[in-house]
Amino acid sequence: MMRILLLFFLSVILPVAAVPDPDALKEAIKKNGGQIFSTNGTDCQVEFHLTGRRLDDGGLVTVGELKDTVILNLRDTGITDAGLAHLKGLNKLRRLHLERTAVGDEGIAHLSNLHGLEYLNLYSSKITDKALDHLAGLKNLRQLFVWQTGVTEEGVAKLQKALPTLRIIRGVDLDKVAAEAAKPKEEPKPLEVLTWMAIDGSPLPKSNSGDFLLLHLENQSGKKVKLYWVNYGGGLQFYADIAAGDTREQTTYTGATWLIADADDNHLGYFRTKQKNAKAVIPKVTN
Amino acid sequence: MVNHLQHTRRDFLRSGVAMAGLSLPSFFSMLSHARSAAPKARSCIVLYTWGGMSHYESFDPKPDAPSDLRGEFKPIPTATPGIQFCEYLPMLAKHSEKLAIVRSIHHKHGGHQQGMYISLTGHDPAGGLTAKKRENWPSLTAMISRFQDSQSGTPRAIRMPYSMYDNGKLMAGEYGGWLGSKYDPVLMKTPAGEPYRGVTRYTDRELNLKLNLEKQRISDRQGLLEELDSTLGQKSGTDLVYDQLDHYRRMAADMLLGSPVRDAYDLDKEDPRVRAMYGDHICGQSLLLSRRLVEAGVPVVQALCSAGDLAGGGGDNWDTHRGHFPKMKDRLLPVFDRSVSALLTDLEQRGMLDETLVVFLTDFGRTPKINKNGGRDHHPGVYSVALAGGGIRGGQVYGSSDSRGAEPGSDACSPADFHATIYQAMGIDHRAELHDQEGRPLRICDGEPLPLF
Repeated sequence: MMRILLLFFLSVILPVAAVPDPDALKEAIKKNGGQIFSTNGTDCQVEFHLTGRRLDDGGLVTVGELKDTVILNLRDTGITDAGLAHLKGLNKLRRLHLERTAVGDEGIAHLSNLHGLEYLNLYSSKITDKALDHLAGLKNLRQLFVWQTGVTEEGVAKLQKALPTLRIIRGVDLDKVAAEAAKPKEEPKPLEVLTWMAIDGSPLPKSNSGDFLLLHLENQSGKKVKLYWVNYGGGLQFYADIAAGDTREQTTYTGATWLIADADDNHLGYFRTKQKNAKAVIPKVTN
Repeated sequence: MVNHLQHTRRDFLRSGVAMAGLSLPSFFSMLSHARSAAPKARSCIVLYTWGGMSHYESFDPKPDAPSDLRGEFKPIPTATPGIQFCEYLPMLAKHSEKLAIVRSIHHKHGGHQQGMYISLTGHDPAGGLTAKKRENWPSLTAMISRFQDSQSGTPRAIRMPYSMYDNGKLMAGEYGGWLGSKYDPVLMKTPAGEPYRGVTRYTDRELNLKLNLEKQRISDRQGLLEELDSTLGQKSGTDLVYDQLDHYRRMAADMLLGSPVRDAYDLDKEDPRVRAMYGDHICGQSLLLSRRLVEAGVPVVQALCSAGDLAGGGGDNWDTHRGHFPKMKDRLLPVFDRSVSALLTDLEQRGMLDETLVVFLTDFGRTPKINKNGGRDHHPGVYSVALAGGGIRGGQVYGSSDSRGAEPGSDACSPADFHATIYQAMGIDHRAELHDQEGRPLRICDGEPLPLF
């Protein structure tokens, strides 16, 4: 009788023990700081990177039993190579975050049969080229992140050959970037300075139509001046007053003439633009 | 022509199917309905170029336009054959494979307030806008945060490094609007970065949650709460009701005392080489902070991209009415180019880009005609915006401007359409309906998603 009862019990209990209750698993994962999301009611997204960073290898036992997990984020947790052995059976896993953990080459060996993996993040982990050998059979892998690891150019080239559709993101060489950023900034080249043409009675040159450029005017004459454009027919077109000490950015064209007059419209001098943006300093005028 | 297109689209949306059957009984059913599509992006970083960034001197150069329109700068090839950027975006040009550029967006509002409002809310501004009016439409940032759960005890939405002002007036459009003050994105001052050849002028008069408190002081929780009480107490004559006050208290305490956001905020914890990559200016350090906040679980962050600090309106913003070319070349574009390129590089190498939607927005474009002060003026007739990451297919241009860059040339679209695209990328139903504080149902977006996925 006892034997029959025992058999009965075993037949009930054993299957349950073999397939753990998903709700109990989820409870255990949450207890460890994990968060679980589901988009379609079955597939699970399990994350420890925000609220479960104290997770260690022991905590991965329950994680490895939740077979519906498709996304697992273990960033910044305390897991190591040994813990990854528990993930071997997560056949639905598509996205795995192991970045910024102590995981190295031996741990990655446990992932070599996770054929559903599409995304594997290993940046700032302890891996080297040896880890990449364990990934060569993962035909569905599309993105692999290996920034700040011991992975080399040769290792990447070898894996790329085995998995031509895989994007391997190596990231930037921070030393190079920092050196580049620390370089003294190239000061903008000083503008060409246009010659001040004092009025000498000869006719003002007319403007030609040309290409667009900018004229930077500085009034150092000590008094307010008027700015006129000498148009294509030689006529004057008023543009602006420029106060003493003021500057003005004037759009213009190559081969244009800009006349400076005082407040009483006495012509003082002019500038003639050339081929480049230029500076034009209105000098002190001694009458 | 252009307006006609816009109206047609809207009329279509107002009719029939789109409006049917969407009166949902409760917040929760609405939420589950709205999130029915699997989210592609889990976080969002909104990069806003306040003042109106010239499309000519960024994503839509016009080398074949007459010389008085095309300006001084040349186009350069990008990593994507057939796509050209302005020559002063050489770093960003290498990231074109990540970017979907929209060159045919347009609206009708030529003022900063109105242009910013429609760009950030996706809705036409009503008359008499004031910043804190609860009838205002929520900003994109606030609206996204309404649908995203913050999973780590962080605020749902943060904006930085200052509020938008124009001529001393606080601008409407970057707040929670009718969603309620709980959804006002929290303002953070970027704790580092030099103004780039500019001046620092923090003149923000708002509640700023004292984020620049010294470290020893913030470890004293009680002291902090007292300090906040006294700050908030000064505002007690206004419309702050107790639950809002409590909300701020709790949020401030969470943020400052041991939460992941506190850690993210401490830029001294970042590798100095990474900091250098973003650039030692307010824009660069703001974008670095954006990445750190997203990494810490903040669902949505909005950062103003400028050379310095433009609070007050007269600083280094993109409103280049005078001296457009030197200002773009020497100040604005180098900062933007370095900071944004660094953000895209960094999100990619950390494996975060496919889950993080990066949104480029601005008030409007700039005029085809270069004015007599060497500037370009406001031009909402057509301009460029962009998306990267978050399931967006990079290396593409949607729509075009005409040969002069004055009007849409093909596939005209609206800020609302761009918002609908963003909502789709975030897994939010752009036709979802929410209720304002008076219980009136409002559909969150009047646009239709662009095919950028």
